[in-house]
Amino acid sequence: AALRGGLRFQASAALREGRVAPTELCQRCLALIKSTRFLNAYITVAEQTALKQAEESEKRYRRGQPLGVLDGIPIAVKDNFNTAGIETTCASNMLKGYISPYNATVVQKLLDQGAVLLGKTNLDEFAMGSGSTDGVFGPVRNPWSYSRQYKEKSIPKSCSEDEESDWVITGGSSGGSAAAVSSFTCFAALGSDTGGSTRNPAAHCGVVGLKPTYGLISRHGLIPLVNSMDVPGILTRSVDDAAVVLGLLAGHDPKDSTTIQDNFKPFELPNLTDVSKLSIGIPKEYRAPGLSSEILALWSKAADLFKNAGAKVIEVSLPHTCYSIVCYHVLCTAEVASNMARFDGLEYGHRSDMNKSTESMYAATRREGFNDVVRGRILSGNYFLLKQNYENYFIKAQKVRRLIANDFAKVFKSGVDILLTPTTLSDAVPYMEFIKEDNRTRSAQDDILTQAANMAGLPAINVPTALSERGLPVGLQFIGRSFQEKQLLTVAKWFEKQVKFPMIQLEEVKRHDHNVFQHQKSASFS
Amino acid sequence: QNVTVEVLDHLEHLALVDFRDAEGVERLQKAIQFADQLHEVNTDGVEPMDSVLEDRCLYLREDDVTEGNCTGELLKNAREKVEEYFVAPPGNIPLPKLEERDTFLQGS
Repeated sequence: AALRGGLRFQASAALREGRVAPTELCQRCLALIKSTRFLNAYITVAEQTALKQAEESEKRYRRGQPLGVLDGIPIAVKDNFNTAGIETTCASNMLKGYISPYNATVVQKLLDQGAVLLGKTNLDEFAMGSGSTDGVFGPVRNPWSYSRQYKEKSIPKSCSEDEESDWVITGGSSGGSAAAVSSFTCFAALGSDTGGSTRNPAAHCGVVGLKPTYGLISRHGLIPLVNSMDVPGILTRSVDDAAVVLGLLAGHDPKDSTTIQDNFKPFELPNLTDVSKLSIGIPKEYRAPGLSSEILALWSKAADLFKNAGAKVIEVSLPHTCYSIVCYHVLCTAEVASNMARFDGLEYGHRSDMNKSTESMYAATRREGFNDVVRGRILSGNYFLLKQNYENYFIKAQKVRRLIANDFAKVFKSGVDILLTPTTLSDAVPYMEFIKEDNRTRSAQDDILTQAANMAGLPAINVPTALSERGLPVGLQFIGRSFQEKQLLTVAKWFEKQVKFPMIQLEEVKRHDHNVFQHQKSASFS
Repeated sequence: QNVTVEVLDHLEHLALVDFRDAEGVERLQKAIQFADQLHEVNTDGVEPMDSVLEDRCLYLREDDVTEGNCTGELLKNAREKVEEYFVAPPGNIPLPKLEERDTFLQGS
């Protein structure tokens, strides 16, 4: 029960009361990781260090001096966060074998609280993608593919082999983290969110995915994609758990000058009973082309839920929503062109054998190290930054960004507290269908409901809402005012309690797919 | 309007990344086409936005050395090194011109 429950109320209490020991909890999670390897959620499993951390935690509990709620709690971290002594690959050949000499600030904060780091999770290469399908270690499989709920709704196949191709994607790019939390192998996981990369997989995997306000949580040690939009994301099985983790991670970091200097006070979420003072905005532009009728209905039902409970629910307009993806496309590729320039083979990461000149070595290294998606974005970004294009593309996109941010500001100024929108256009699609379109097309389609919040730097959260007709999770998104995470999470928690999203019923999977296991490694360090 | 070979070549030099094949070039063409939608938006009188935190002051810390002395650690990750130096192949040698380079663009 401790394994399947929430962090805060079940697992943490169980540890404190001595009903389960940290080492036992750790062992069970590690065993579960092994038995769910076919999900390919983890790139590196840090078995030895995790057990050591669990032992230290156990000593603290025996002395009656746990560090806090997170002491002894197994967590996972997306593989684009630096972790000292543990390989950090960003799912790219460019960083295979790269062992970071330092911990990202958020990782350090979790470890300082006694959290047990189980391993690094899989993602799209350098977090570029919306499926967690484009990394060098292969795609991540959505645990719900193996749930009774999904299997019951699937058209029965004539032979069991065909079930192989039925599995659905996790969404991305933090798919590994979402899958890890969804399959109970950890209690919380770190993701990152630049265009929806935490909220999208959270929706598809039926977990809570929080994108904090830009500037609230340190990006130091998070390998950057778009410096002006990236944020660390939090994935948990409940809103309360997300609030706990947020409380430990938020706050100014001298090592990240884009973190605000305001004093951050961790908070406990009140149990909201009266929503009559709330004003919920429903942005009409989020009724995007391609939105499934199922999700549209669910969104409407959710709006009614608030209305019937006494909240003020009004339609609002964010007129520039349809341009956020184009705007993102330009700004993202431009920042990527700059951020990826550091990968030249000289100081770390892959280095080509080409030795004729510095430039040719760099070119060969990058040729060998980056996949098509990454290279494509670098080249596009450089195009938009050319002198003849700078004004027309990059500056233009920055102006459009302001228009998008202003749309939100106007709506929030008019008295709306929280926006309610869908998170994704549909439930998770089968992998075989997803790969029929290329990465950029997919990202453009899938990010449409999540990206604008990154443009404006606003906090947003996915709350698992219901199962689709195919038996897969569908989530809804709440977007809040800057730095008003407490209000956002309070409303999200109320909603979570109303919808009572079902627990996944994972079936025992007897499989021996060796190809998938090849990439799985157990890291052991002295 | 297709992107000229000169610009493609220039991009390969700037990015030190190659287009690799026709698909790579096509990818760029599509990206530009996609981005052109931006021009539908009227941005007269709108200032470009660098950061959502533009109304705040960026944090600056005291100019004191608080950490460092980790040369050994940092050198661990480099493949080619000598004593405390990263070793690079000879510099100041530009990439060969398009005609002499092994690039897909050569055929264009």
